[in-house]
Amino acid sequence: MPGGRRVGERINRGPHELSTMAAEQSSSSDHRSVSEICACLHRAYRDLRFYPPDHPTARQALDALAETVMTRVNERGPLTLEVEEGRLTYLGEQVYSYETSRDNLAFLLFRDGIRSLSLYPGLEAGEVEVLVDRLAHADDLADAEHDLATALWEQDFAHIDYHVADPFLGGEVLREGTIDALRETVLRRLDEVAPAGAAQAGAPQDDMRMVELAEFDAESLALTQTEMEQSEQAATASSTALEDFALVLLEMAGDSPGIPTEDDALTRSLAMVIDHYLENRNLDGLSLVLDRLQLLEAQGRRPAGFVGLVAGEAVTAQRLAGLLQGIGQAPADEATRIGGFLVRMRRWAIPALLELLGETEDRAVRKMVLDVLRSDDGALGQYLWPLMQDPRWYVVRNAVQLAAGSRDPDLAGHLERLLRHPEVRVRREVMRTLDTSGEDRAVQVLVKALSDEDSSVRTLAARGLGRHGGPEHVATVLAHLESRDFDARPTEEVQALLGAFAGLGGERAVAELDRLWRRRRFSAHPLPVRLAALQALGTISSPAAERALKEAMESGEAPVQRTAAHALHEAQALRARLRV
Amino acid sequence: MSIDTESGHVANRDQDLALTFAAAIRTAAYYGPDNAVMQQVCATLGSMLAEHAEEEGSVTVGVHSHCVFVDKTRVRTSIATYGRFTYLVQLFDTWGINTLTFLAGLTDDELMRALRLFAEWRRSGPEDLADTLRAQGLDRVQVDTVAAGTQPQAVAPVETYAAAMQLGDEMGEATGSGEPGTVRRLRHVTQAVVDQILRDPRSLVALTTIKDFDRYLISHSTNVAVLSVVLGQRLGLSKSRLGELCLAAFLHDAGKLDVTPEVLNKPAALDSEEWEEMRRHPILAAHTLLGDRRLAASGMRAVVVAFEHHLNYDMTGYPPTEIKDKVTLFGNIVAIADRYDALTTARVYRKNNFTPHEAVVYVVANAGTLFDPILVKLFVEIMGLYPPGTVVQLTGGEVGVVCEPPAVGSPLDRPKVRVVSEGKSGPALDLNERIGGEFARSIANVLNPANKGQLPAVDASVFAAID
Repeated sequence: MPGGRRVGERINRGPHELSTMAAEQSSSSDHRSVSEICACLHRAYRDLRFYPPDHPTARQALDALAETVMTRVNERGPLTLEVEEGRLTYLGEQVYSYETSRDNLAFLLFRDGIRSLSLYPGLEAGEVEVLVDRLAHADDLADAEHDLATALWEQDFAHIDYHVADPFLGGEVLREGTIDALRETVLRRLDEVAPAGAAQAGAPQDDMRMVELAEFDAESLALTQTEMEQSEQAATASSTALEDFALVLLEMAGDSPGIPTEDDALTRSLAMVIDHYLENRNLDGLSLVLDRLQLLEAQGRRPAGFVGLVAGEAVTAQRLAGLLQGIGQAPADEATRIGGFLVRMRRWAIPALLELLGETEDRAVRKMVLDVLRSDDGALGQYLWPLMQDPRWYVVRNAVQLAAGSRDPDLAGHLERLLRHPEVRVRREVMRTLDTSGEDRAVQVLVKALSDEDSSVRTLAARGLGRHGGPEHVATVLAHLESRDFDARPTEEVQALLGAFAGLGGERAVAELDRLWRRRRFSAHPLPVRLAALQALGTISSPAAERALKEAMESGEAPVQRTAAHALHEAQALRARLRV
Repeated sequence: MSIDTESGHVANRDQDLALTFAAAIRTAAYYGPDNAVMQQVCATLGSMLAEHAEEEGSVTVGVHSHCVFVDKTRVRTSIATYGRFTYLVQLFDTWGINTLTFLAGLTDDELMRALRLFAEWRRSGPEDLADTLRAQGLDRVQVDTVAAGTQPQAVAPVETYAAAMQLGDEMGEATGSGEPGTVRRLRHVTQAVVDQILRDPRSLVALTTIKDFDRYLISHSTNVAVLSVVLGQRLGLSKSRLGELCLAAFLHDAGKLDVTPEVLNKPAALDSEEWEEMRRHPILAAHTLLGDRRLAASGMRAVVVAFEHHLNYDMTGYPPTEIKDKVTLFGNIVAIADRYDALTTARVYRKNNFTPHEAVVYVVANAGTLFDPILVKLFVEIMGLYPPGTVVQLTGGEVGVVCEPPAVGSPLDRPKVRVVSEGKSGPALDLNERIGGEFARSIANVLNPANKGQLPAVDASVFAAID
């Protein structure tokens, strides 16, 4: 037969061959398991680049990797992977590679100087997770002039080791002569010692002064048990780098006035501290920083506006959102403290507060933010105008709402620009704010708003105009009453216009209103219009208005009569009040 | 028992085992098997081993990357345990082994014989130790050296020291720490320094005594970094914190770049105006280190240390402070290292330059005022009363230079001394050595050669390996 063995032929192998075969199979199986570990490692690395560790996808990959690799090293001992530029090898054989460098773990390790990675029995799941995390975020390290080897070094893994190509990682190449200089110094200095023979004679040379030996009590130099415990506590105390740093920054701020600019390192560092304190809701730390900076500013040791410059950089809507998270369920004293802090920060936090107001749906947060913003000292206006150009309608609306309390003379001008805002809710809010203002310019804007395409806006404009307008505006309102579509307008709008007409026209409006309620020979205004006219007559304190209403009470139309009676009562009461 | 409590209990149990093992070997070096103390220690260790081995059938004590492991769990070192753990690490290094495994069923007699063997074992070589254990029928004690790709690369101490000095030199010429790539270089060099100190603290300490006086500022930052890390290691700081400490110590004098060179390099005492300028350097250093980027924790600590390293433990130093009321741990560590190195660097204008012995006396005398008293004690424990570089005359008449501080646990006045004769280094003598129960030699006098204060503690042979 050409080659091969016949089916059924028994193959006998000797013991040596069997042993070799077993060893080969074992080695092959070992390589497979290592390859599988590398595949798990790659999956976990890939997933952790896109998801946080608690995401189900990432979690599953991490757990699978941890189980696989821990089982392997605990059963079979240390595992060392050699790192080459594009692949990982185990005992000389490839166990991992990936097509693109960007996603290739081996390339990542190789790039940062790592040439082997060893994992030992006792490996813990936490170590595996941290290792993968560092790998997954290795590219971020470059921004901080960090690298993977440093990141692994800092972890000080108990059961993971690595080798680097160069202990100085390519950073240090000793200059020629550096070590020679040290050697020469050593040799030169040794020549300064007098010959031993002369010293042994008990007569030290002139250049070998004898020094008096100090007496020490050995016991006094030994650490007591208490001192050992104190030292242990100090050594294992959790890091307070930022708190210590903050104190030093505050000292430095008091030392050098300087001129703060946005690029000033001290300013940015202080902003970073505030940012951290906000993130961690550390109100004590925030108070310390603000107290100190405000004091320095008050003493003239820091230029005016310094605190705002620092705080403004740090206080963002995101940070405030974190600070206020759960405020509705917080204990009363904590909520009060946070509220007090916000009021204190208000001056520098207005943009962030406004942004937060626009984004949050939490009622308790909104309430607190509004309360803070409404404690207005007139400084709010300047922050609101830019927000009125925000692309988000709710931000604009909130800004308009908050502007209601502003005494800024430019208010009406800014609001006028919003008459064309596409969102009706914004335009309605504009009307309310103009109504609150009541200034002459605001009234002019209300007049313009009578032509708005939306009935609710026109209604609010009419009401506002009725409250703050003057006789000069009667004609404008009358023009609306005489428009062709007046009868078809919603009842609320009709009422508002007629009310405004009555309020602005007074006695002069009676004739027109009287005409409106009456039924004409061939036509009549719709009943809501007629009734609204009667209501408007009730707001005019004049005999002519009363006569018109009395006449309406005898119209024979029940709704007309009822409304007229009510309006007459209102008119008489009004006249009585005016007499008083 | 909660998980945290249970893991804490296990950690304590592992630590106790390792400590007792170390103590037992040491005890065996002094006492015979019939001695009551030896028997007590052996019994205690035996029951610990039995308890540990109950679940897995064995218990393993190992050393890897200068750390002690018990059954694959790393045991934390602290001040109280430092001496014994260091002893254990050195033993394993000497034997050239990674682990010792004790199998369940080990009898007290077997354990005693094993301990005596360990105490007397002088030959290196794991094969010898394993063979000897087997030859003595101690099959339940096994040696393991398998640890593929395990040992961290060892850079020669002098290379590490030279690299740090070189970086310090270049940074002294640069505009500050903001040069591209500088931060990375700093990290790598400081990591190398920490790794070296973890391997062998004495090697770099010896190199700090070379003292090229013309290049004081260049070597000073390196020396302060080395001495600080040695002190931090003794305190039990973690590796990452030692890295932060090293970086902070290395950069503590960054502010001197902004001091007028004439003032900085003045070969005489400073007048009041010059002194006032010099006193600004801590705050100038802090500003320099703020840099133009967002700082990580290590950078923050560097700023803090630069600011406060002259404040003094009792806050009577400079710069003046208004709200800061104490110096941080790192600041106190660097303060000692900084002052010690400055004192032991001879100045041309000083009538009597300090010897290292006098510098230690100064540090001890100012414990509680200038320096943290606990750190002072640790510092003296590390350096001894006659630190490396001290030139001494021995009771036998020999003149030599202290090349190594006393071994951990040894009397503070018993360092190793290298005899110097006609400008050449001779053998190193261990003053802890006894003959007939008495110390063979002691220090009779401390000498000040040519008013330079000290001599290099290293021998020229350390450079031979580099060649």
